Amino acid sequence: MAAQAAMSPATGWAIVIVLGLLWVGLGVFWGRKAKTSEGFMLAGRNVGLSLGSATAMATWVTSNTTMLAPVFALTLGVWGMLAYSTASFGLILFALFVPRIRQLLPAGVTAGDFFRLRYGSFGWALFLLITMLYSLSWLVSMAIAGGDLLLALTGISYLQGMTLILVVCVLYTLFGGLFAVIGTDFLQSLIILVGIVFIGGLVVTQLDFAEAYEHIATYQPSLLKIAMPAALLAVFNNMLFGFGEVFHNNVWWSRAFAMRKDVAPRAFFLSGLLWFPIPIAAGFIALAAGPLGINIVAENQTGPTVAAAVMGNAGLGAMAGILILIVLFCSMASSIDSLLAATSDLLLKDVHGGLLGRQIREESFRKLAAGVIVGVGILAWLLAAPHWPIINALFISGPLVGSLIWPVIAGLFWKRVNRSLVLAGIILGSGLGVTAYFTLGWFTATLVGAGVSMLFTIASRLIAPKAFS
Amino acid sequence: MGTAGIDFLDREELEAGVSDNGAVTLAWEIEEGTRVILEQGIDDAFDDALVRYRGPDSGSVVTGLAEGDHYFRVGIEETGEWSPPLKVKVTFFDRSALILLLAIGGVVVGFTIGAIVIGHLRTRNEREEAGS
Amino acid sequence: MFSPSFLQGLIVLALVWTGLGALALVVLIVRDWIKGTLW
Repeated sequence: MAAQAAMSPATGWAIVIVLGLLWVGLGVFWGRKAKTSEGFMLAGRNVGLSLGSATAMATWVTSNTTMLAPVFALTLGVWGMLAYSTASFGLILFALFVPRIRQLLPAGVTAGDFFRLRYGSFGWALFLLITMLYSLSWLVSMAIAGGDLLLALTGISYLQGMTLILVVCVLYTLFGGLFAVIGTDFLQSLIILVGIVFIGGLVVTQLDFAEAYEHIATYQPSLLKIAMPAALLAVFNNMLFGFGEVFHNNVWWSRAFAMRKDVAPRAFFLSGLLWFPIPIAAGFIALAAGPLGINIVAENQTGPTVAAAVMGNAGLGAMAGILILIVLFCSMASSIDSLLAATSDLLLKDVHGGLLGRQIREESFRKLAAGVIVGVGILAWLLAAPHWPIINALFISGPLVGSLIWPVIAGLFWKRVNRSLVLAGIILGSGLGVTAYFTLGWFTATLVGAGVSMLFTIASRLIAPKAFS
Repeated sequence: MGTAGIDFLDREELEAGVSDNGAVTLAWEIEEGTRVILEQGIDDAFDDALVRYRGPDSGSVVTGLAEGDHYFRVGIEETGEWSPPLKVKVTFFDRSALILLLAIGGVVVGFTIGAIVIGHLRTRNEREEAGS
Repeated sequence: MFSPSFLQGLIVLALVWTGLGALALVVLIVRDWIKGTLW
């Protein structure tokens, strides 16, 4: 595991604490702009193009993106990277949803508002169940990744590292709400983009392309295969997983409500464009490992191993671990903060306010919101501490979120549906998809979930449809 | 049985299993500071063997292998002792099943994107007509 | 097999695109700041 940490635990602590203090400081500063509950949850509904694009892009760049892209390139080759890039399509397509979302829900706050409006209490409850499972698995797997990262790079114990990262994110989110999340996302997105270009650029300068190609063609020919089965078989499944994640989740809906009306569609479109090259730019360095003679001992450490080696070659060895830590910490933080905010919004507005029917007075809102954010943070900590493979829960949620794609499309764009059929499609799609996960293979699960739900939703338009009220 | 004590870890799993993507993780146990050589051959004679790794690490992730059988052996550089050959089988996912999967996936994704684009255009026209 | 020129082009394109993305964000935020449309 942490055979040779790239830096001492003390340096690791120092970097995370310095960055943490920066984010928390900014969180407090920007949090003062939130004068009302709406300000806290939706940043004043006036976010502009630059901050809007950056926050959508940064939130979608997780540590999975920067860590898994090299692993996919290493094991699945060129198609592995290209297939991962298609995850940006969800963001681009969401741009087409936004005008309709704003039209349908002019005072909307959460995605739950939509599900309750179009599909009643039962549909709303289904949505809450699915989204909480998905969001929590995402949040917890990020926290776990944080603990693993600090352990591998600095030798800080898993529990301490994981706790540190969660505490930092919880603090600036509860002090600053969506203002803090969006503001820090902008800075984090710049760091991520510049870091990837820097490391990728270094690799390119150290590589003789012609020689490298020959090396790969000799030693790793399958990586250059155009019809590489293992890479291709998950292409559409993963694309649908990405669609399901973006189309249903309050992380994205809250941003749709937070941005200025004319800005939101362009911001999502731009964020998808910004995201598209990242898996390739971050992933290709794994292809350089063979030609540059960099030995990979553990697959999941491919990215940091290659990055550290090329930085060492360029005489920047001491900086390598630090740069990698900063880029990965930013990738995690930009997602963890969004999940904390969006999930607590749902709990506050939809569960506390909606399901339980409790009124939230403006004066007590900030305190209540802080309590919920801390509560979600503690829950995440409790689930992350035992170091279970929560990432599997995230993958299993694929068919669940996939089964929400068509209900969202129908609810936004159609005039008449048979509600019961749509809801049946969600339940059946989820059930069959999860079954497919364990029987046919993980790479079929979301495809089955989305496909079944699609059939039921289309049928709902043809069989005894009723106009939306 | 190799003459050296050196051998691949998880030998049984590696030889019993099949890699569907040409990637296999090899690991071996050595003393601190020992340098090894990892060789790959098309048969267990290792004539014209490819040297995949030379150095002090205790493992190597080998990827991009073509379909078929591949043989590996790891040896200690100083003494020239080799492990017994390890046979790794690479078989890609069934071609026709792959095409079926891609076809179904393409249809679902195509319909989904189509529904979104059409829905967006229709509701946009309605908004423009309503003058909002 | 993907050709060497395709691969090289893809990688260079991805890096340049990522870099331009960072630049675009900086330009956009300066523009928003000047126009007072940040948030």
